[in-house]
Amino acid sequence: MPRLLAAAGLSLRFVRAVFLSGLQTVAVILKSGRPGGTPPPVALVRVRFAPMSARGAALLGSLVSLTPGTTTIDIDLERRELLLHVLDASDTDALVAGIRQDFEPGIRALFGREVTT
Amino acid sequence: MTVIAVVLIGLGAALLVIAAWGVIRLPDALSRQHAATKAGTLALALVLIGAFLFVPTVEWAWRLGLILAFLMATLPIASHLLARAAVVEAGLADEMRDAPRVGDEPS
Amino acid sequence: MIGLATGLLVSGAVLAAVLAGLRLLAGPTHADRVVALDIFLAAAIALAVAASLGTGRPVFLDVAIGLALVGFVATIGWARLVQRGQQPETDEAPR
Repeated sequence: MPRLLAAAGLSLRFVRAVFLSGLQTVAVILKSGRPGGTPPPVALVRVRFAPMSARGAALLGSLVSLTPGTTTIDIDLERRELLLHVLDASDTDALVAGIRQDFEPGIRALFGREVTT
Repeated sequence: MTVIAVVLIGLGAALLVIAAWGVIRLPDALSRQHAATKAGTLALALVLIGAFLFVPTVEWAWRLGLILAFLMATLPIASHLLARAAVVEAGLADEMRDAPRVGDEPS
Repeated sequence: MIGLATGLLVSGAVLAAVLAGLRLLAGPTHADRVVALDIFLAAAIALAVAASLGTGRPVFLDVAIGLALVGFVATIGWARLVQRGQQPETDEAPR
């Protein structure tokens, strides 16, 4: 039952994150798409993630990819790092905080107890 | 109900155009990919929910749900592979290796 | 009301397809063109939904289901091809 609750909470937070960052992405496109607009500050960054199983890491990478504005390019299980491409890298701290708060607790509740490979 | 459905479908159509606009205007392949895959899928999600509100029957609902589920399940894999290919093609392999780590340590 | 919705949807999808077509012609890299194909795919699914709404027949949604699956396989195929085309042949050892 706690797993079911964790899954439901994760889904709700995910939908919220998708819509919020979807709006952000639209804003970035419209801002940089105007004639004379500035292109967004794109960046490749690494983000450490909490200990979890390989399946959990795959789910985390997929959710991060589905959230507009970030694409998972590589998952490094040994160093527990996600390599992300970020569309709007002006506030990476908020981005990392978003991943930590929205996705990690739910995924750790679902996949954290399995053996980390 | 139909008004909400028309608004959702209209928003979805507008978002699809914005996604295509982003593909035209953003500076490089990786940025364009953000616009195409994410904004495009979000647009389709809005359209599918709107279509369900128009015709809330079982035989429509499971088909619409299946389309959305397929899109949601396949998009991360496709975008992951395409992003890797774009990184290789743009010659960003070094930047990929030297990418800075951001944020604090996880709890 | 349903006419207005299909009208909006069709015009949005056609406009998106035209813009994606420009990017498809302009390139400059292969990855850009694959990204434009993704927009085409989204527009095609939107048109299938519009056809379904316009005629009231859910069979066109089956077309959209097929498109969603075929588009996924196509994108993966293109991505592999683009990546392979960039690497020297010797690097692509069987895994």
